[in-house]
Amino acid sequence: MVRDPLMHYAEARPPLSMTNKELVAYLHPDLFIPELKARSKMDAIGRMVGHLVDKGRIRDGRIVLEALKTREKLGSTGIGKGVAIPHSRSTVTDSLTLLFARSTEGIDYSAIDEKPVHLLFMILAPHQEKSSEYLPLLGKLVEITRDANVRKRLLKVEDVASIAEILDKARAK
Amino acid sequence: MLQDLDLMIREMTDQTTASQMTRIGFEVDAVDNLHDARQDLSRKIDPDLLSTYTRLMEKHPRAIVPVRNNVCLGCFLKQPTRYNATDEKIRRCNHCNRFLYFI
Repeated sequence: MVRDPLMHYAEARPPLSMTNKELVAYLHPDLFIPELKARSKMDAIGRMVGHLVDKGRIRDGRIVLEALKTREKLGSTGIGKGVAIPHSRSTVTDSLTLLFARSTEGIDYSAIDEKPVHLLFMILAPHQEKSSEYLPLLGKLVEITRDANVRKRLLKVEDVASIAEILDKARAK
Repeated sequence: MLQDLDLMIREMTDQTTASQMTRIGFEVDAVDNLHDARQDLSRKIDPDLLSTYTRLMEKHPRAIVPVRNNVCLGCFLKQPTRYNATDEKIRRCNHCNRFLYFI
């Protein structure tokens, strides 16, 4: 098999390490849904993918949706305490993308603790990344959202600047 | 897309990635479900296309590669300008033969 030219970049990075500032760099005003209207897990994922299409981040949502649905077959990405991190790599994106959505009402997501999900972070990554930040980003979000105070504050944010401030100052629990 | 599924299976059966996923807190113990999904999906694909795809996957890490600014991101060589996102045809790179996806 021919070796991928970008793989050595990926392998050079220490696994699962990311600073708060690196995480915050993935936030973008276009990539925040203040009130996600969805009733079920697939409805939520579908609407979030639709948002990425609307904002021009991906051209074809169907392929991404399939990848995310398939990922859910491995086990729920609803990690408990009202947080879900649907994630997948996909051929149809060429950059690591983070979309944050909030549901005040809560979504029946089949989370591991079976509680409704209020905070959703969707991560979409290409199969190849120069900086290999997909798993570190995933790990950082899990780490930060373990903090009840962070979760409580994220439920009340109005804009991306406030989200950035919360995530930047968050400490690992 | 078959490639996303194949690469997901490859990633989840890689011990380093699987252990990192577990360390983060995600379950990855239902890989059999992915194999089932792959079988279902591959039945729906034209056999000739599937055979080409399989050969390319044996040769390269990816059989379907993105195209940006008319450059194949598999081999980084320029593609004809008539290849574009509105094109309904299945296009392959003139140089490395991989299937092209226009981002």
